[in-house]
Amino acid sequence: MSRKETKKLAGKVIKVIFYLAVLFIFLFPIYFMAITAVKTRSEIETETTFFPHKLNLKNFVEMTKGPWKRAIINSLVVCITSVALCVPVSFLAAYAFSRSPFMGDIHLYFWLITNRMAPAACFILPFWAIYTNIGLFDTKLGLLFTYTLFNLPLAIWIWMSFMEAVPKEIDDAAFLDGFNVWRFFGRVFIPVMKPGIITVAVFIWMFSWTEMMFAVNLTAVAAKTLPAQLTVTVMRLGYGVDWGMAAAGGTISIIPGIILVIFTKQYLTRGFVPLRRL
Amino acid sequence: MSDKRYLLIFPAIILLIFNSFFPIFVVINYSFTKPFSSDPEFVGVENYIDVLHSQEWWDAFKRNAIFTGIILAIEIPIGLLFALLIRGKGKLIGIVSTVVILPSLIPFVSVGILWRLLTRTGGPVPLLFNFFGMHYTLMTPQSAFWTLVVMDAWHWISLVFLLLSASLVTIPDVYYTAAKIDGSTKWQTFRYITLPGIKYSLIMVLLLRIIDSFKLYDENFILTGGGPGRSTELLSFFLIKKGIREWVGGFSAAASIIYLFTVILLCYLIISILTKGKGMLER
Amino acid sequence: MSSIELKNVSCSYDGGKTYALKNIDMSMDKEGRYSLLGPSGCGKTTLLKIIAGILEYEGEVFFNGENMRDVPIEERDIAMVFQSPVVYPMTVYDNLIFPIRRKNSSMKEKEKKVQEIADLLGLGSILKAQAHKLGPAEMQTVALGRSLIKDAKILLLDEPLTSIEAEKRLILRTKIKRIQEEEQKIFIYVTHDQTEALTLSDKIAVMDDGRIVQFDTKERIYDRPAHLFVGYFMGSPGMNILEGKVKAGRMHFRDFELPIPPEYKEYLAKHGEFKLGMRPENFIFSKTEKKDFFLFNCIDIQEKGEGVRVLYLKSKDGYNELKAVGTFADIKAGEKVWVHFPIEELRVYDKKSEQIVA
Repeated sequence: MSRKETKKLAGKVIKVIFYLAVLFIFLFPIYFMAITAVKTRSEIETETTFFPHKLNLKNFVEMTKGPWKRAIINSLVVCITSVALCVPVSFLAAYAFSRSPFMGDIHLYFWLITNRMAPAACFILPFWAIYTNIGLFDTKLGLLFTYTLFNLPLAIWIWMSFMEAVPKEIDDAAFLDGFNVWRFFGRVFIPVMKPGIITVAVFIWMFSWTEMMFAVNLTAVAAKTLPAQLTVTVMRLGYGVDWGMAAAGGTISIIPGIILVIFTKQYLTRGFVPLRRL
Repeated sequence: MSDKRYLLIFPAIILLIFNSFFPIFVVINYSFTKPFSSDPEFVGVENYIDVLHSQEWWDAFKRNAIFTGIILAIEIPIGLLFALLIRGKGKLIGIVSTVVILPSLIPFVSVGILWRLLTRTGGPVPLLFNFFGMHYTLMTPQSAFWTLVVMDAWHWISLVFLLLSASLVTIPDVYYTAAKIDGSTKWQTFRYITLPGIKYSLIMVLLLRIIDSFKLYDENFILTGGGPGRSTELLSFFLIKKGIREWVGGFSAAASIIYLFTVILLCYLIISILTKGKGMLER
Repeated sequence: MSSIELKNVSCSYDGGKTYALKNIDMSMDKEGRYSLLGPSGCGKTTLLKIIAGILEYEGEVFFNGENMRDVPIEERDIAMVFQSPVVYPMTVYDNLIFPIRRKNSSMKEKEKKVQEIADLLGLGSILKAQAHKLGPAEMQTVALGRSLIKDAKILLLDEPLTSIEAEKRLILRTKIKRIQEEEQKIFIYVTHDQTEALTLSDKIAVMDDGRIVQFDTKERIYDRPAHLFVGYFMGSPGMNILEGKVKAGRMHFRDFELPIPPEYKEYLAKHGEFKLGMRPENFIFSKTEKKDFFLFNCIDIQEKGEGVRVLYLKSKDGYNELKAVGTFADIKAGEKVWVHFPIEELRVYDKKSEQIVA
């Protein structure tokens, strides 16, 4: 073997070691949570094992019952309705911003973006006060509304980049051919924007699925989402935390992320294209 | 054709008036009163003065600023390094890049749970420390703070990686070929081709991480609950504790307003720099 | 003396399912101006990238007799200019000096070299400007200058004028031409534009579908296309192609017939069918009937500029169509003309393979 080849091989080996180390660092914590979920409570409490002695599916069975089942369903409902509400509304708004200049549009757009940037903690107190007064406290509808505050700006932002990539002449040509706006959307624009729909939907889903601050502070029992239920489990004082249960809930909460990252990885990166220019 | 397409913006505006204008109006209103009492009276700027004189507020602010500085210094270089090293074709690279992105899609609570499981007494992290003859516990202010930092890095290097990798692929191959032909060193290639190519994404990810680290709440709440003492109490945590748990609404509202407008000002400055004053809509 | 030799070079982008280059043999045995010419997708850029060492390939590539298989791009004695202008984000001066910064020579010598190149390309006035803020034409000039600075013996130019504004293209072309006159190198110029190929090279390789169809001097490429594709691709309009049959020792084209040129007699004695190629510049016209002139109808006339016109002609009974290029001041559309085919300008091609009959 020549020196060059040896060097090349050594480089390859180092690279593979680096990759494996990265895999370990990012996967081990997730693995550890997943196996904790299938350990018995006594195994969790007494020792740290990296392979469970006995497969215990009790925690996952619990997930299909009572407050856990309700939390998972709540989470799914809030996520699906968020996507269903925000995708069309943000689509229309972004279209207006990108195609039809109007007075003060720049200021409005900036205000939109700052909503996304604004610390959510600043909104907790007023939302809490408003919702307790108008009966939206501890409802899924309340959470849905709250999430639109953050989902809409992000969605509009992402839409803008997709729309700016399509020449405005397409619109003009369609209108000259006698299309009205709605027919133009249905026949021409939405088909062109398909990748945008997926990207926007993925981001809205992820925000709604992972959100916890509002979910904890604006709900009590009925509308608790999975992250809120997890928080309650982990924060319960006195009895000691049931880590097996928390780990099982945590493992379930990761599943949508895994599915999305595998099937929509290219859309995830596209969602950040607008950030290049803002 | 009179262009009325801007009317399409109205559904969004109506939702956001309910969601953004109205709450901010309520907070501003609170910040000048003593809310939640039987007789909310107008107290002028008293709450604001209280906030600016509050040691707790300034502690949280300072703590958060230090935290932000540290995580930027860790996450940006490592994220960039990952983006540079984990690219190209191949199955292993595909798997590794997918796994690196994964943490950004995990609910924050679950990240908190992950790390509490790891750092529990007798858990893997204390075991690792023991193996090297050291001692680890989440119970000292120092180690709690640094655990928070490591957890945040584990969570958000993914975002830096995602953004910068997406940006790296937009640099045309011919630039690298030209650099090779010109006998450029690795450092020169990085300095004159890679870095200028990802400049905007880099500023953007910096901006996002600054803002997000000032918003950090969930993992903070789950992992350390602000403790021990107040050693890991960051701004968002402080606000919610004051407003909802300690029930001092006026103080919390005034702090929120200060906090909110600081962030908006920061956004405005950075956006102006990024777009060189051209504004955000390009037509 | 430098040389490049390609032996049986093939290249596939999809692991062998389809080939972008198929069994290329080519030899550039001394300094000079070469170009690779062909429509997009013909493999010309692929071939250039293999010479540069950017792509994996099958077969062998030799520089000065040395096999280049394991020689990395940075150790090959090449410089390259790309289709999209590549400059580094620094001043024009720093860009020019970049490739020789680490070379073992005095700063004074390096500065002198930069000055020389700047003078040659007219960059003297913008040496202090930031290169990445210039227009595309200026950026490309800087890239060109940078490719010259280290005295590489091989300069590869990959469609360097394509992304330049039309009005500046001519200026840059002149600059490239001046470089070619000043420097002793192997210039390989890739283009789809035959005018560029004809002005910037002496030998042209015409490529189509991953193959070199003809590699010859530009005069012979034009005058004696080895393949009907070359005849048709070169020239505007391209070569006229007529299908004919041999009858009684003459070439028959249904409504007119021509004598067989002596060099093709042997071939046409054996083959009954063939294709005839003729350049549109080479016809002789008459307004009256003459011996060896055939009646054609002039259907249409298009101006090519500067008094040159293209005539669209149909033979007496409409079986054959021709295009002719010239001034033809006295011919009008709709008129009858008599056309003569000079026997020494006729090229006969095999009907099936479309190769010229040697």
